Amino acid sequence: MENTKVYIRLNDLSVGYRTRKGLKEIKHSLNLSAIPGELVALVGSNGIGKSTLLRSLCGFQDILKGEVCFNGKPLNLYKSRDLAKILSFVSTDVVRVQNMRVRDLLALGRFPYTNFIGTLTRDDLVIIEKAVDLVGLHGFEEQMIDELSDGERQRAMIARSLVQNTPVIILDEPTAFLDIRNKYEIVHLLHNLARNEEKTIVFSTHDLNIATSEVDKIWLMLEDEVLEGAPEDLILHGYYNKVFASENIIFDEFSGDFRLKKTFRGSFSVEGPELPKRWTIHALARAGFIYTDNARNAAINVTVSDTLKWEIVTGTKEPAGFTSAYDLVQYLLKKQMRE
Amino acid sequence: MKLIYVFILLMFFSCSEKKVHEKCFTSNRFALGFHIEKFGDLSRVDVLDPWENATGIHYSYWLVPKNEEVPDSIRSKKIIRTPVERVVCLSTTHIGFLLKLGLEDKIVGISGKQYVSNQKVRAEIEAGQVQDVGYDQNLNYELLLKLKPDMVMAYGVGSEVASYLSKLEDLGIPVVINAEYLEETPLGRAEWLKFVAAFFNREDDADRIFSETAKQYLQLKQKALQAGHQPVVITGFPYKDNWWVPGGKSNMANLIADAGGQYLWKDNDKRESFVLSPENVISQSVNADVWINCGYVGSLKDITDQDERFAIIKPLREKMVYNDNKRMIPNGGNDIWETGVANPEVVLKDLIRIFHPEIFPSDTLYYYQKLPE
Amino acid sequence: MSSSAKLKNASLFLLLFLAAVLFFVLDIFTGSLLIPVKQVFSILFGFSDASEEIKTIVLDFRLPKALTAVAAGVALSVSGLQMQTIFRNPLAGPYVLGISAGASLGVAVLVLGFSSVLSLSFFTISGSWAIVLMAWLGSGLVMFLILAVSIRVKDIMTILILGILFASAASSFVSIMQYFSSETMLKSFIIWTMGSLGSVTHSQLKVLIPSVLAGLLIAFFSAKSLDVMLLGEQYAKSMGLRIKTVRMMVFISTSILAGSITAFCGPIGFIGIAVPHIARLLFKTASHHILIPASVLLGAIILLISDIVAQLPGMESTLPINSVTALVGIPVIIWIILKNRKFTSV
Repeated sequence: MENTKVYIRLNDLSVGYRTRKGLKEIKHSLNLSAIPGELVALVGSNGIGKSTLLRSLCGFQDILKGEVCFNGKPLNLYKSRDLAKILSFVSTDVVRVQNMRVRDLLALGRFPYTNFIGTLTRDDLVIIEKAVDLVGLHGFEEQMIDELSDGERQRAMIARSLVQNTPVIILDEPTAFLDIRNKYEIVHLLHNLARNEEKTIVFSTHDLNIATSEVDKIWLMLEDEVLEGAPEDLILHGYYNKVFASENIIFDEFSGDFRLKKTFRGSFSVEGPELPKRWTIHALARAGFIYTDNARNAAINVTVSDTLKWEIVTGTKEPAGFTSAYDLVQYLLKKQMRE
Repeated sequence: MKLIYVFILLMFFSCSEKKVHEKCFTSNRFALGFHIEKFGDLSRVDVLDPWENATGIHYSYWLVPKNEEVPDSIRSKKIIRTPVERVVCLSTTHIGFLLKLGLEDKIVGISGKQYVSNQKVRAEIEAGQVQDVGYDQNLNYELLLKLKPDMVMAYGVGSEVASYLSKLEDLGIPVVINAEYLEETPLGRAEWLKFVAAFFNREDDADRIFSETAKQYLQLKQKALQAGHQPVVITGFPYKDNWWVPGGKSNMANLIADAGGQYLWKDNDKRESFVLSPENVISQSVNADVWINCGYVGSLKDITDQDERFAIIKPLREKMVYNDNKRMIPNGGNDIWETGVANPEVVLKDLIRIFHPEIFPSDTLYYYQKLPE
Repeated sequence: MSSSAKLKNASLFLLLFLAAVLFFVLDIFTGSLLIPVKQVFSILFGFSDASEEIKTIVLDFRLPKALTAVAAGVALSVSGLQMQTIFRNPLAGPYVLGISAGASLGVAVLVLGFSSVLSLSFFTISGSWAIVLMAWLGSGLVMFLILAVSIRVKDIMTILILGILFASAASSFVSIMQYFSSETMLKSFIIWTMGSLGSVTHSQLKVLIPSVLAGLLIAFFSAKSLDVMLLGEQYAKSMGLRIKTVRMMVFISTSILAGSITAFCGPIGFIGIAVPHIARLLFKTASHHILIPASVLLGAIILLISDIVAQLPGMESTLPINSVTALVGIPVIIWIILKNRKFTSV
């Protein structure tokens, strides 16, 4: 029963909630999947419905239409005990309980498996030990959970989920309140779990950057639809631009970041070694200049050396050179303003 | 000769000025809570400390005959016009006094019709000739106004009574407080007959009736004294952990003593009731002979149904339990509260029958009954 | 659990048990009558030559009262603990769903209402059982409403608010009845609301004690689920807990425990809120498998102490038990709130 692999499939799913006036659909006609060994990120801007989808996936909320299937069996056919052995959940809320040690918290994860007194067998204790190791909380077992730092607490909650030993783990914004370092560590941990333990892991985040660089698959939640694919697939099909649904934010497919739209200041081209060239393009694009390959079409031609010296190459008289990207940009901006 | 006419004229003048002088006291033999002073045709009735724990408070009522003018000097005081023809009684005890004086037809209102025992008055209530004006906070002021009584006779347990008294006065309804229940002696209570009678100009009748009452009472008391042995008496009934018993100087304690009984708590020096734990009463009652006034029970079984542990109480074991509810109406009125105050000699006789059955072997109990099993 | 922690818990439990026995015996010694210790013991163990009255006092008054104190302490503390966990609110107690208000309503109907409508002898027909039955009926009615509501309502906060509203409605009816009643009825009713341990007889104990045991049993079976509920209903559900079933078990257990005590003794406050906190403080755990027995022992101890204090040893009268539990319970609650500044949840 434990350690099976579970495939998640969402078929023509509609999620939302019931009001007195009837059903209110948040999202409809969703067709998504996740496979064992895969880390999936559910990405979308805030308030777009990520939590609703995850809650429906876990059975906390009723599905309006369609199916959520685990290994082909629809969610509503699972008895709650059996479902608890398939799927575990980590929420974004901070759990505040007094007098609870990390060890006690983890032991709760064995709830679906223990007898009515809750005695832990030797096997249970082994699973708990393993979970502690996997999340790197060795030595923290006797600490009270409300004395942990945010990162430690989140890892403890994940450990609890591991103790529940489910093939599927669903996490709602697990990195929301964490600093950058912790964010990366958690995602890294999740990825390892997926790969090494062959778990199917889905987590939601509004941080597209981390998702893009770390996960195997993204469920990209837009206003009207949810698309799935590897991050690069979604980028290349231009979907990233639709994420923020704002005219002022654009996704630079080339550099891979989101940027505010800038006032057009002119075109430029750059020559030089790969790394300085790449970041010179970045600096000038940031300032609002558009890059072009074609040196002849560009208004400004810049060269950069591997000793990080910039020069503007034009027919007319230009200053000798710049030793920083900062100076370069400042000069060009002033020049453009004068014109 | 002319001097005499002048003198007479002067006297007329002085009379018409209605100055108040010429006091004559009505002296009470037993009652301490009121006294009456006569000033010619007028009387002043004082009620002293008219509720529990009141000290230094008194109410004065000026009784002015209806066919006379109210003198200027007392115009601002509490005035009752006499004789009263329409009275509202807020306690059934007041009804008892009026019955004794034959004045029950003056009653136009009572408080709590379910408590009235007298059949005639009950009939009048049913017929609508006597109205129920409610009680305590529920006084029906509008009804009182409509009734236009000459007087409302009230009583108060605590100082809060002053508030609805002043409300009545604001409405122009004359109110007097009758504080008979604070008297410590049965004859003191009964003497309030004179208080009541004053408002109806029947002081002489009251004097006569009360003298007779006192005479009979004292004769009975004398008989009881001669009885020799004095049975030990306990009273009351507990509720939950509280067993309230009358104080050693209370009316009940005095009645028991006058009937030749030994009240178990006669050494308590207060008039007010005090509370004991049931455990305490049980242990003290090892020597008790009689148990009286045991609450809303009609049989010994009622007592043990309430709490099976009371079966051990000695008077109960010996079946010497007497309750004062022989003349109690199912829904709450008890004649002993209505006529028992004005007729203490009847109550005394009952108690003497209970404590010393050999004295009046052929008489039956009036207010009391022996509780059957 | 580490073995040193296990040892610490075990010795703490032993200590509490001994304290409970001690106070139980002390409670039997205390009363308005001074009965020598030797005599008490000889009466308890059956070989005494004391008078019938003294024997009655020890065996029929003091012994049942001490047993009632234990039953009440146990029942109220364990139901308070469950309420605090289910509602994730440290100030919840056994009466938060309106049990006490419902019981008051039942008793008010009998003492304030019926006595004037029916003949007063109704009061005496069933004797002391009349009040018990009416109190049970009243609290049972409120409990029934709560259960009916909790089947259909998902959010636990909604249930809490509804419980408070039902309680208020019941209290309003009681106020109306009080307004129209006479002094004696009113006094009877008010005295009932002050709580009383001393009026429970042996035959009543034969009903009370099994009820408390039944409620305790249900609570014990819910212990594991209650632990999981501490993490919140979402986590509990994700671990396979059937929330509505757990709620129902807890509500039933609480209504049996608190309802029985209130029916026989009247409402007794503050114990249900304070004792679980003392248990948490002493044992420093959130595990209900420890907290339930801890609350049992501590509840018994505290109520026995309260009863001893209420007897005003040596004086002739007794204080109403509610005043004493308030005096004992309120400072405990204040102290716990102040000591624990991170006080956000159970």
